[in-house]
Amino acid sequence: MTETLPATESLEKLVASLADNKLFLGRRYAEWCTAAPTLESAVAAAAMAQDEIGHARSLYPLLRDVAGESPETEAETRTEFINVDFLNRPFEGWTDFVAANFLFDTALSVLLDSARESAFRDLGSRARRMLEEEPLHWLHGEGWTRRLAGRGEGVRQALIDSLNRVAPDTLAWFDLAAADLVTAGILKAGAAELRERFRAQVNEILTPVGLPAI
Amino acid sequence: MWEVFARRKFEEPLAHVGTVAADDPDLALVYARTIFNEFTWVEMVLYPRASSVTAVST
Repeated sequence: MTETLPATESLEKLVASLADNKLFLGRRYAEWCTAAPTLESAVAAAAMAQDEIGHARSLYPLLRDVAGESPETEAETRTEFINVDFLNRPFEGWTDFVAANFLFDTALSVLLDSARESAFRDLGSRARRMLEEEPLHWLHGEGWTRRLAGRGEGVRQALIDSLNRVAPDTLAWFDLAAADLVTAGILKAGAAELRERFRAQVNEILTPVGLPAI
Repeated sequence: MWEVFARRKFEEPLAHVGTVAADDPDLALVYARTIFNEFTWVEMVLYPRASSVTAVST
């Protein structure tokens, strides 16, 4: 479908960041398909990896639409990925997995939720489709966060350390929701509002179990 | 431990499809949905095994 889009740097960055972060989050999840602490969570890790990589696969064609055809708009030939830094390295432990699942996966969904009715209709339709799969990711992240918070001081501290490693990049990532994207109707809310929505959602889980609010 | 029941059509009865181990209902739900995903179910329900009532035991 051909659409008239504002050819902005912000839009290109938005689509590229969503695609790259979904791809790298999927890769990191996939590394735990055989290493998760229970067989059940290994299957969940595999399913979530498949979801995220599938989402990335559906987003790269949009990058081609907004940035033009080039090796940099194809997942297989792209070299200048703009994913958040903590996804550049394998998770050091299960608490890192849980922190990324609980915080960053949720942040991606909060931003996608503001694109449901995007003026960039192809992004809106993909956002709605992706968000159908995300409730299970949220349940997995919040379920494990609550579980680990009650598993003794060592585990609890490891979780806090992991959350502290993931939270800064996650909060900063919302800067992607630039004001001109809201003005153009591509996103419904800007960075500050999305960050607050995200904080409200995760703090509703963190605070009752005595974990530091984000 | 949670017992998982599901059906593919509303006119069919719920059938036992397996079990999942989880501490809480949220994680049990995630595990059931990701493990027993071989069909497009119209309904899936979970029961904690601890709540079962034994009617016959041999």
